[in-house]
Amino acid sequence: MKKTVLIVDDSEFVRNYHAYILQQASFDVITAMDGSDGLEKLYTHACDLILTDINMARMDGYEFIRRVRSEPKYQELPIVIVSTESQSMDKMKGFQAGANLYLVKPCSPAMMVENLRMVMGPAPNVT
Amino acid sequence: MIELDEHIGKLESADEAERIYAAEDIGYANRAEGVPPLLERLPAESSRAVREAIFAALENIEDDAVIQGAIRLLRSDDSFLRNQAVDLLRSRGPRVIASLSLAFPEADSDQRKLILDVLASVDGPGTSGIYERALADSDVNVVITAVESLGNARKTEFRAHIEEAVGAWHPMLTGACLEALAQIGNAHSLEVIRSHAAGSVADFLLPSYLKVLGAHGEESDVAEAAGMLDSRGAHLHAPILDAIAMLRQRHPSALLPESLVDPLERIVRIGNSPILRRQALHLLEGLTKQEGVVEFLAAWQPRLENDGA
Amino acid sequence: MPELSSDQFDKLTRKIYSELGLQFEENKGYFLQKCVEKRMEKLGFDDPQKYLFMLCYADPDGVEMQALANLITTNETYMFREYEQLAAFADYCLPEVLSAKEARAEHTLRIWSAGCASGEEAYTLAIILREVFPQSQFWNCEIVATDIDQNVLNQAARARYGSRSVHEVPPEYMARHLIAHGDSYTVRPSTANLVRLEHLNLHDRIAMRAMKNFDFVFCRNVLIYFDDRSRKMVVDHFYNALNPGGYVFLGHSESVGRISTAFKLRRFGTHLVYVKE
Repeated sequence: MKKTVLIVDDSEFVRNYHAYILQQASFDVITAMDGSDGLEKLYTHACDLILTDINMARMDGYEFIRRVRSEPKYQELPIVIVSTESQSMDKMKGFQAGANLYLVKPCSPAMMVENLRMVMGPAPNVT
Repeated sequence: MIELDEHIGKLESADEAERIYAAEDIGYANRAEGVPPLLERLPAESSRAVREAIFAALENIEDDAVIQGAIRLLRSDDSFLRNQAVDLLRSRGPRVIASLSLAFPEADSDQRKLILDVLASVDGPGTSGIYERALADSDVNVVITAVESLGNARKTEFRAHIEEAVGAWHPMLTGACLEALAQIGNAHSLEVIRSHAAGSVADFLLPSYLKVLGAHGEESDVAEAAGMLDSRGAHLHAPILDAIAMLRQRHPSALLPESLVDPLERIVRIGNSPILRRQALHLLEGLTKQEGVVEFLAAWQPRLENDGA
Repeated sequence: MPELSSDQFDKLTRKIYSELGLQFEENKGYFLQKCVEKRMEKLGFDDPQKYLFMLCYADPDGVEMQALANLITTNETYMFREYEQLAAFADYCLPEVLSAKEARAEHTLRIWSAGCASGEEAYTLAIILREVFPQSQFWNCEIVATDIDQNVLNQAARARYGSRSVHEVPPEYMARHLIAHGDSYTVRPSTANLVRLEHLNLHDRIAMRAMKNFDFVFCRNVLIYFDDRSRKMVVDHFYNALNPGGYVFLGHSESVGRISTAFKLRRFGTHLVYVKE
């Protein structure tokens, strides 16, 4: 059964670009335009991993991750940040919020897929 | 002024509702003096509701102090403040361009990207200068953001520049260029892309390539898109059908190859979205000379029209 | 008229979601197509791509978005409209709030039906309350139904409706809460007396600030017609009007999260709800 990734990014191009990479690697994909949209999508769709940007208006990536992690059923859901911000302080904030991995954009397609597969492991769908 | 001072004082109230109303009232007063206290309150404010009310209030104050304050917030360590500042700047429209143009050269790469995020929704004189600098930026993320915005805003004057960037073959930048050229490119752009691809576009760039093909290809390019339908994964069905549909729209006399009948009928039967299935059905209308297609259409059209109701 | 492509449908629904907070799934593709065609015909567009570009990048005051909104939304009002959402309220949210109040020995319950029009929603909530919470007769319960239009409030005061307004009322509730007079129905006083009607303009911030201590706010299919700033102002007032633990309900496909992120999202069954923590 295909794994599903929720992609959260305010750039339509970036959402589509990451979606194409993941679909090519046989993932199913759901997309959201910011953290608030991301939460609504998460609560209404089954997904195996979240791939989120940080800089988004309305609800940024850190707040989104915190709210995801505040729900007991999403404690173990893998969350990967993919952001242009590359400072170690940004990464630390990401991990403190609850992310499992932090990738810096632009990330090569192969590396992205490999990292996501590694983080996802054999975890089941969360519905 | 006394009244404004009272509202400003209530920004420190222990009561969340009072702080929200204080921000709202300062916004309605629409006075420049209200801007600094609102901005100063933000870092200390723990309530999200109050923070949002403060930004709503700043949006109501017309003075340019708001623009300068928002630009300073782009440097904030607090990601909520940075990103709400982008929204606030967007709400000002073209008035922000001059200030952003001054800020751009002094900004770090993260801030330059945020400035471009503002420009994604704002157009006017002065943006070209910022975009020219952005396209030559040392940070590829800044270049990618600029390319995306230029495509969305239909800035055809940057077409040649974006065609050049295709040749860099940085995957994400190439993807951004293809998406932009789908909107502002032309037949020459498609030739440029093909010459750089040397006959093989990376799989994950195919959807973007198909957009360019659909937008700028010739009649004969229908065969290229159609040829992918059987050989590529189901996730590519939507961009392939989009490309064929667009080519047919622009070239109504373009013939559809008979080899399309089977894959299109399969999509109508079991396609993964109602839109995709309807699109396949409409394309089959161009293949009625093929055996069985008329009957197939008669059977499926009533089922798929009207959202299946 | 060319059909919207998958990519165009995606762009359109995102724009509608971003501006109006309305979710449209792919199974509404045909319906949206027809609405877009009407607008394109009116404006003289023959290419959906050009219409989309105008909507996304050349509609600074949101005039076209509002015109489209008027086509894609229905203004019809009747009792028990958006049944699933009311079920989430009745089955999950209401019991949760009542239970918390009981634990604190607080026996008041206040619900606000904002933009109540001719009252169908307010009386629906009253019926639900009487059905799901029979002890409401011993508590201090009130449904405050407000609207800017005095004419519709007068209509609401009569609590009398035609068959169209009651066609979704569950049959077992009809006999218990409505009195039939030929083709029309009146809400029984024992149910109707939960509702208090009040004139209120949602844009009047002073009047809005006076609305406090509510456990639920319903404002369904009203805010879609407001501009961004007004919508935000109204929802900020709803936030302040609610007690902690209180819920806000906009229309079934309207997203609170598009307007304010101060509320927390929760899921009950298949339904999403927003609560003030």
